[in-house]
Amino acid sequence: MARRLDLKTAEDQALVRVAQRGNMPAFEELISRHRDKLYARAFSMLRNEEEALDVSQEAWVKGWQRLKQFQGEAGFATWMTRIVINLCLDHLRKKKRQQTESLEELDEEWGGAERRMPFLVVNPTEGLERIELRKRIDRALVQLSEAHRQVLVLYEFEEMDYKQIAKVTHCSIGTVMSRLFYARRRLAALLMSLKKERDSE
Amino acid sequence: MNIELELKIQAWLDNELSANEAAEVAALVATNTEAQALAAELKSLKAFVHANEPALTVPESREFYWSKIERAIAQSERVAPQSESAGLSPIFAWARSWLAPVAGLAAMIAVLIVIAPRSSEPEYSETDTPSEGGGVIHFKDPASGMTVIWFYDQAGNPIQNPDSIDNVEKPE
Repeated sequence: MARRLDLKTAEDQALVRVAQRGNMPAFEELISRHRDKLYARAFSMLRNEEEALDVSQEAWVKGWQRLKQFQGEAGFATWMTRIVINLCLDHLRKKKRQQTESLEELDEEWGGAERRMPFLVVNPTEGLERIELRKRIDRALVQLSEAHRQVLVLYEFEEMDYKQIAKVTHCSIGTVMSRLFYARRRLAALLMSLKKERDSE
Repeated sequence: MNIELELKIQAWLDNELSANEAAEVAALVATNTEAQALAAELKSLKAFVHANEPALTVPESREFYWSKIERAIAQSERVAPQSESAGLSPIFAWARSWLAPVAGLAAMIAVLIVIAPRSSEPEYSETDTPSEGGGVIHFKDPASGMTVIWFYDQAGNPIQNPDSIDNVEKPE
């Protein structure tokens, strides 16, 4: 007689194998383990709670539909994160088609005022708790343009290389490099100003 | 420093350069203070951001979040069998889209043929009575009150005087 799988303690791989045979409770367990990560990634890209919820749920539905294609080359969470990233990029493309790119954004593409700023030696960890650091990054990320935030999130959080980012964002590697550079310089400036604000309080 | 050089320093820190290019940039950073300052800023920022991805939790209960996913899956699976059946038998789909209307049209024509009044059919009659030495064709059109009889020989040529032949059966 087959041994019954304990969903709470089973490893992801075992749950995936069972879910691939149509077992919904195993899939639900996978969702409960990774839903926060997927939602956080969607939120980092979209900066909108409702949209991030919708896109992350859509990703899980797609994950279920494509589960038989998952061969286990990467971890299940990584595989799911790529699905959510692609959905976020599609979502942003659709939104962008409805908007016209402003001159400000074009200026940002090639480096606006921040590119000409003196280099800062950022020491944001000084005297800050981890939770405060994360909040500070979050506040700074909000102020980046969508295009720059996308590239930064894909590079730093999703750990994609330039070539992979160029492929998923349909840009040249040169554009990825300039967007990433601008995003980092602007983020450095924003973090420094947040630090100054805090120091003066 | 120009933008190309700045991007190269960034690419060096991101391990995106070839060994030769990386050695060139490393040498520049070692000697150029401006390059050093940029490299320090980018390096510090990369480490800081990478280690501090904002942590978020789904702002819905596990049950509610799952119920929406479960519903969407069930809905997609209800739609899938219909589209699958269409996709799995293209011949059937073709037959359904083309043969069905053609068959309908054919049935309609058949019905029309059966029930249509035969008014267009000719009212006249024509009989051919062949015999050994030729024959007689008898044509009668009651609508116009016309009757025509003609004789033909063995080769099918008309005969002007039927009395000249003996073995042709003459109508009364």
